Amino acid sequence: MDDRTKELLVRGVVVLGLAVDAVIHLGVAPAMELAAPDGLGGGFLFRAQATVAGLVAVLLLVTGRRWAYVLAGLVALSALGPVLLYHFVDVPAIGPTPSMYDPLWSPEKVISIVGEALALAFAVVGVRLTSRRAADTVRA
Amino acid sequence: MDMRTIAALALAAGLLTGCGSDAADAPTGTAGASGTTATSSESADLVIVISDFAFELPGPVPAGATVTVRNEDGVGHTVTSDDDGATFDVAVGPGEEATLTVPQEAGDYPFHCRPHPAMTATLVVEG
Repeated sequence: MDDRTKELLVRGVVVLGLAVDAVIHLGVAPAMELAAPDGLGGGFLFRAQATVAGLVAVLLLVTGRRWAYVLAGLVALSALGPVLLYHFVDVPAIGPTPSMYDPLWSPEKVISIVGEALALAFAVVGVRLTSRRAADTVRA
Repeated sequence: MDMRTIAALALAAGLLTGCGSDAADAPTGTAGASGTTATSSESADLVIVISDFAFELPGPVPAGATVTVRNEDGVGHTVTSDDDGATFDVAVGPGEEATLTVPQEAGDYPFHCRPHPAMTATLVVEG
């Protein structure tokens, strides 16, 4: 398998992971308005996450550039980190960020974690592949 | 046992048996709804406590009674009947209380929390 094909496969996985992240966050946002009403509100934060994930997924899909992979990795991390943190730690409200502690597992949470983890891991691979491609281009 | 001790014990006994207390101030989950006629004071005693992501129910409740939903968690919850909230759907914010009107028909009413679907329980309504 050549690098071009590898990169396309990796890009597809990252885009799919971010799309899953976006859809789940959008679907759960109304419930989060009830669970975390303080400050900015959980509903707003989840919709913002969904919007950013969707936009970055489209950017990566269209460009396949290294900076898009970096952005995709950061967005995936920005969702994966908090969902794990708020699952295991009862973090109180911090400034405008409401408490979003939720020690229970749900299908939506598991699916989003899988999507975000895949997006993050494959984004790292994508950065490496596109870095090598850029280096090859410079050498040529 | 001197007189002061006896007086203190008598006072404590009076307090424990509810002498002179307001029914609305009764502690959580002590309502004796089962097998009794529903009165307004008994309804006021019915409390569903939400604590540590679990429902604590007062036992069977009279049809049509008013139940207080007390959320002791730091996040919001709902008490939503499993028929998509058609029978009852009450949201209660972090550390807040809300009121739920029990259905008029006796039966078992399974419910859940919308933000946390793994939180489930069944409200038993007596005729």
